[in-house]
Amino acid sequence: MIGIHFLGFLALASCLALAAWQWDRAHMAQSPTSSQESVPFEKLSPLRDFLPLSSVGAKTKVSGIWQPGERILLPERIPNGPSLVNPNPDKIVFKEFVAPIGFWVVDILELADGSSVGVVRGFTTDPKSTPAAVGRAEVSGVLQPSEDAPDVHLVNKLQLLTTNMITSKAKTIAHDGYLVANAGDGDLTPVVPIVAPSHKSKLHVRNVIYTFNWLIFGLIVLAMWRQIARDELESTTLLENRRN
Amino acid sequence: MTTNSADFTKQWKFYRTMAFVVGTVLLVLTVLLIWVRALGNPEPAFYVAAWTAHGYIFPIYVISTFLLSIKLKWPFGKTILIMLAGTVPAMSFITERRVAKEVAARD
Repeated sequence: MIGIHFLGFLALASCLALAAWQWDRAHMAQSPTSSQESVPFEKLSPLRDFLPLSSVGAKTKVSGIWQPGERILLPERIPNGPSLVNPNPDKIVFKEFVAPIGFWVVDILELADGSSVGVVRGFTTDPKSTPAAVGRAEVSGVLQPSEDAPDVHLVNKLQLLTTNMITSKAKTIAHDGYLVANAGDGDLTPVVPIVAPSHKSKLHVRNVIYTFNWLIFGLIVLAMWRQIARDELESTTLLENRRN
Repeated sequence: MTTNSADFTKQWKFYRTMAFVVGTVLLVLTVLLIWVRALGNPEPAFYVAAWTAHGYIFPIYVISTFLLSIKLKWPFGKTILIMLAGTVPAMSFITERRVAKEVAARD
């Protein structure tokens, strides 16, 4: 009987904890990026977790060693990121850009703590002439979410720069999202980040839905717990009655 | 045993329906997942909404399994396993067939 109660309590507590977690995620914190100051990267981008919405658009600085031979080239891009945003997310929108159209050059930077971050180093029309990223570097830039994040919608069915893509290239565990370098490296043109920082709180409907999902599971657990405890009690009573 | 009662028939039908719905939705979503993630195709407009909907269909399947487990007096472990079958593509179809055999044998 104690085992049943222990298991029931554990399952219910897990459901409630997961519901609370989803509820937290549903609320976007006030952006700390409203200041123009650079915020330490560790504070903005927790490892093994999503990039908090409050960190999107935040200015930061990272230093580390470039991982050679792991470059990502994103075709059909322009330097001005905000122009890539689809103004009508419900439809696939095709925009014609005035030249130059080229590539975003992304390299992987391995940080001192052993984690990795994808860095958009800049824009080029001729990626073959762009020298490989080698050695130690210190990069100042702006944090951006993975381009497959629910709030990011791009035009022209562009190839997206996703955390999955960065993870598959990185030799060590990668942070969610990516960093856009402020200054273009070498001959690269600086890229303007796609997503600007948000300064107001926003409720994320999907996470609210997941919150209620966990609460429903909690109710199911509660019902099962009650039923199993009742069955157990009935069988114990029956057994005792037979003995008497 | 109340397997012949109208109440049992109702629970049994509820479970069968939900096993079919969960199995079908999960199978379709798994194919879509492979289409998007493994083959690199763009997400269809309904993709996220469909997964979210599945998140609500599954608890209904769990409830239907739980109600049937009370009627058939299943042990706790068996009930949990049948509930979990709803998270494995096509497994709910197999489980439903096995439960159908069990119900037929009891009648």
